[in-house]
Amino acid sequence: MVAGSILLVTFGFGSKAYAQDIASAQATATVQAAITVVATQPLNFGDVYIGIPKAIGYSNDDSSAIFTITGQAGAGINVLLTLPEYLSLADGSDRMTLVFRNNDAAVDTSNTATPSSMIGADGWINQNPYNLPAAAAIGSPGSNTKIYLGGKVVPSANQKAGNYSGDIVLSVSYNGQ
Amino acid sequence: MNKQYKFVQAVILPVMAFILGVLCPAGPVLAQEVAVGSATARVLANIMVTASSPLDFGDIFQGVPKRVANNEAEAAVFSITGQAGAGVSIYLQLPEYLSLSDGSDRMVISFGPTDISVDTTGAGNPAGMNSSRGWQNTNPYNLPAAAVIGSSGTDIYLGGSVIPSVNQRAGNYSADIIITAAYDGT
Repeated sequence: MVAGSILLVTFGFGSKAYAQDIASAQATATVQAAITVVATQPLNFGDVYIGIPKAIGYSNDDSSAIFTITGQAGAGINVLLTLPEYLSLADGSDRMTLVFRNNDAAVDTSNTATPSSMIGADGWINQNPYNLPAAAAIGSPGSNTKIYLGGKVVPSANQKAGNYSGDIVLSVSYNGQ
Repeated sequence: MNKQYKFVQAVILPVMAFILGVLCPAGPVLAQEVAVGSATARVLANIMVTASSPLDFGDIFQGVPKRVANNEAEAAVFSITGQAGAGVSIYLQLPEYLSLSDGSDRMVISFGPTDISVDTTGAGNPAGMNSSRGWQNTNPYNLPAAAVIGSSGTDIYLGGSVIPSVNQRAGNYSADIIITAAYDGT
């Protein structure tokens, strides 16, 4: 009589038992800080006289355009500026030529410089706004990079009086570097 | 039918997915951010110049010079309008003679170093001019470089002298006085 016992019958196929060990590794990833771009200051030519061109350099603290890019410090970024060819009156009745020269931009990774104080060691100065440096990165420390932009308006001899404006679009993305 | 469906589900679909994954690899999706800034400018009002009053010497007697001061009612008045406060460059082309309309005689006209005033109040009244209104009694051949357009415009008052000869022919004499004004960017 079997009471309270359990007869276990095992069936085996006579296979070998191998020594075994287990190790676990990890899969890891670091999600970079989200990239953000802010148009901090417009490119402001101020008062313009009919028939008299006016230029604003990127080193003008008060009048140059400033874009601020924040994200992962040290990460490589692609930076593309879409620049207007004209400024227009709000009602579209007239437009004024706007040009950007091949030294009208600067890329500041220093976190401390200003448009007027920036030097070459702070990033890239006197850059072509149509071809910003491929090695651009989010600055460190500070986790930000600034784009300074100048330009030149060329009013005609019969330019209509009034307030002119145009959009400057900055697109930024990580490039994985 | 059920077996066929299970075969497709278990075998065909994974194989197709593998093939597509090899032939059409998905690229990395990069985060991108866009900001829109602006460029702005204010184009100032067009500059306009008007010859409001002529330099009128009135009746002249042969051999007797006559002068009209820049603060007299007979002084020439030019009015300049445009963007208030904007700097302007002003240039006068002054004649050396007045001539009969048929050109048969001419009379000397001259302008002295105090024959012009620049009034930035826009009053248009030579008689009321004083130094607090701009530049008084200055040289018409060398107008002040710091001239600006007043809030109500700027007026130029011009005097001068005619010197008729003793045998000056009688008749109506005239000549052109040309003023050129342009913004100077200041």
